[in-house]
Amino acid sequence: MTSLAEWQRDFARALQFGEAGDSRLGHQPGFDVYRNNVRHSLIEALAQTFPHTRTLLGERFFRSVASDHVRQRLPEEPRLRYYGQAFAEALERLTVMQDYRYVVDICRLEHARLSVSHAADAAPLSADLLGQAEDPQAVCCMTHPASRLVEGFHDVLGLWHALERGEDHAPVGAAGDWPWLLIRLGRRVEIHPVNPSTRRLYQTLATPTPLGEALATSARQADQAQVSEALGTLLALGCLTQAQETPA
Amino acid sequence: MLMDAHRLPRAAQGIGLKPQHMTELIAERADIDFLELHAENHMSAGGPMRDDLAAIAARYPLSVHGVGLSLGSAEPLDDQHLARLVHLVDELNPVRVSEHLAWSRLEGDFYNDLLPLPLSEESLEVVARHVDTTQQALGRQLLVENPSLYMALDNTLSEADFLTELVRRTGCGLLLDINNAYISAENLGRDLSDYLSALPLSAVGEFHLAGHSLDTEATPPLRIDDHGSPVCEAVWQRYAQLTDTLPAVPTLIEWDTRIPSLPRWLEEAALARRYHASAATAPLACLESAS
Repeated sequence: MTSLAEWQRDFARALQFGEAGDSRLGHQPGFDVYRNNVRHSLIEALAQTFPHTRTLLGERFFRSVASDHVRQRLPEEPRLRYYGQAFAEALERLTVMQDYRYVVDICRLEHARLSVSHAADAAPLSADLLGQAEDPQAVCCMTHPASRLVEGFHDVLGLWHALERGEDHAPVGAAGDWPWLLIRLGRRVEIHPVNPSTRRLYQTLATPTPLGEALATSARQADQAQVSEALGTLLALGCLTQAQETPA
Repeated sequence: MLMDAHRLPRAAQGIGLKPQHMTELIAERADIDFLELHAENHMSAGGPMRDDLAAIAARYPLSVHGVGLSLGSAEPLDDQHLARLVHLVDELNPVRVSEHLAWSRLEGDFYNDLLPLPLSEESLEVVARHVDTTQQALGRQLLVENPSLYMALDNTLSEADFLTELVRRTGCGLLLDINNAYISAENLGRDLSDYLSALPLSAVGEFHLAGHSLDTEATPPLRIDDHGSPVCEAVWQRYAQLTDTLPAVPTLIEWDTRIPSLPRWLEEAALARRYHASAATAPLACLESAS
């Protein structure tokens, strides 16, 4: 008799690839129920995470792409809301999507929104609080855990809002380099377009960094006024928080 | 035995906790003894859903039902996932914590289903080790749920013997899903009465009831545990018999697909009260107030 580990490998191969693996297992009556449960539940998980992508692609095409994705990439953990992290990349690789890269943008925004919705709570760092610090430059900051930066191909804000209202189409804005910041405010997740300086400062603060150091790093690629404006934007949006410890 | 700190009213009735009912359940205390949540849906670091769960926890006793720990995987438990479960249980102090006799994880991939495992001395050692680890991490008893099966496996131990020995070795309890037991018996052609009478019933800490569907296109037709319909009559009858033996055990009505309105789900829980063996001897007024 095979060991439990070998048996489970055979079972998993038969789940993923149908006839492959232990044919005795995969062809037993009833095995298809497990195969269908795995596949169907994961396609459904993607459909729930990406409702707007589904609207834009249409039900049939979405399910076809989702089914391919499920075959190629299983979740790494049981919290299904985090499944689909690579779905936008999978869409982006499809030749047929080259003229519809705004759909990839929407897909990325949807996944980021979900991550932001369930991210840790933290008090945002305000300009007032920063002003009260003895040495604001020494305050150790980092990006707020309930915020994300998403890099887009198009200005899709109008389309996003239309989809949020339940409409299925809207004009897509200009193509280009479109960084978006998502931030959770109460029960709502807001999406804001940001400029390259703000993006750079946000990226610099991905790990806890003394503010003065982060501003100096950003100032190597932008003038002081742009860096100050970027800091003002991040503070105003609530995208920064005070880190608990200064890195060694 | 279950710890006193985690007691519910005698013959308590519960329903599942679903996002679409959160607002209603928070706004007005529903007539239900407890709510059961799927652990993995509530393992968030923060955000509004956690706030809602805190509001629910302040109003209702909760039970935590895990679906992703993969007690039956030959490989070690996922430490990170176990830590998340411990964190959730520490926060909620639920009346019950349960998981499944199943596996779903292999070499970094998660198969989102409760997959069956062949019952043998080797798998018993694996599951007992994982139950031990989980109970030590939780600092409390775990209930292990019997599976619904769609295919026969090369078992060297019967499911009832396996569960009996698991209880003896680990001190875990059982979550007896009567619908699962019925489905497995029908699909595999085993005798449900024999199965139930061979279980260590004194270890049962919770009943599950749910609806299932019949796939008539399968050869032979299969009963599918889809939790998408009312409990069937055959399962109600078994429930009535089992509650005669175990009158105090709490009951959870599951519904995970085609989820009904909250009032409809509560009706099903009220129906469970009527089928409960104690209903036969209860004064009429009690029955009416339960419906």
